[in-house]
Amino acid sequence: MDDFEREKYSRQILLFGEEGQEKLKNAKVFIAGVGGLGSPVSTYLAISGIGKIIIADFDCVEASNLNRQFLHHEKDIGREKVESAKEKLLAMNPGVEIEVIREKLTEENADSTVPGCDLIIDALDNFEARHILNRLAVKRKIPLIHGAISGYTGQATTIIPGKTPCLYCIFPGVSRKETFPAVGTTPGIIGSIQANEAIKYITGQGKLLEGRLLMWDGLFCSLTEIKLAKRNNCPVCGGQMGEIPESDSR
Amino acid sequence: MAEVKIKLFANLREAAGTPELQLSGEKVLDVLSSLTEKFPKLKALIFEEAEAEGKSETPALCGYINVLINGNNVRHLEGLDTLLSDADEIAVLPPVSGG
Repeated sequence: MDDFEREKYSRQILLFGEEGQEKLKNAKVFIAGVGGLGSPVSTYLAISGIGKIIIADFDCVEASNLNRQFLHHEKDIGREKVESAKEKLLAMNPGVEIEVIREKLTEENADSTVPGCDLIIDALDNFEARHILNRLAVKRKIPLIHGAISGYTGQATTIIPGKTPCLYCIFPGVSRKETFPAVGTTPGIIGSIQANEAIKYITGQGKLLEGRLLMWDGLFCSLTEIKLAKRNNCPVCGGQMGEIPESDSR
Repeated sequence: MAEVKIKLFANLREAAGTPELQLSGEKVLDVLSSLTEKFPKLKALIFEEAEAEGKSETPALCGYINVLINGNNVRHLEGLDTLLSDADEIAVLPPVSGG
């Protein structure tokens, strides 16, 4: 770490020391989606000094994104979200490496598309893609930090394969096909919680949202926690056995 | 009959005007039926429309609603027929899938 980095990260070095800062610098984080959740997640992780951030999104910026996806500006309409996001993240912190993936994640390409990483962050907008990401995280035994929002409501949980319930244990269903409502503050809050979980995981501080689903209700300004249980014989994570069935883990 | 605690979130909480309440019933269906009788606005949010296209009269959980009993999704248990015990905590979650 050079003197400028020591100065730049001095306020968080007070929290976890240069040792913690080195852990962030050596970390590789994969963020699926750079929309409403992906904007705060990638911003906070980039300015915290994560060494390498891989962002994946196959969408282009639309006018209807701008109320919440603050990495994208009016001038970016029509541009690939990953390019728009990379530009802003590097402007904020040229010291991080940003890799972009433009492909849509599918069951077939997930394994070859997602590079090796220490942590996966779910900043997606539908459960079909989330289940693909969940299966990949369980297969590779990489922690997955889940977040989702709708309107004034948001939720988050941290999935540690082999230890906590996986996403399929909690939400086996798929998404309703809808244009979901959203105020920008909801993904702002949930994305910040996800980035906070990532920083804690990497630096080894605090208590993660393991086996707990955090529900944010912005209309009432309340946070509620629901304790989660593993599904018995979960076809994705093996449930209470803690073993991942070879044939079903894909 | 089991005495259980129901927790409601987001638009379900808004429609009921309360974040949680105590109800009693033998199965999940009994408790959710009492809930929707008490707060009729919740019915269309929690149950599928029964009369649609000659479907059976048996009530079905709306596809995008998740009901957790002590953190276990009822879709992995016996669904609406899941038996309840005293002090169970039932969370009724609306679809939250955007990002």
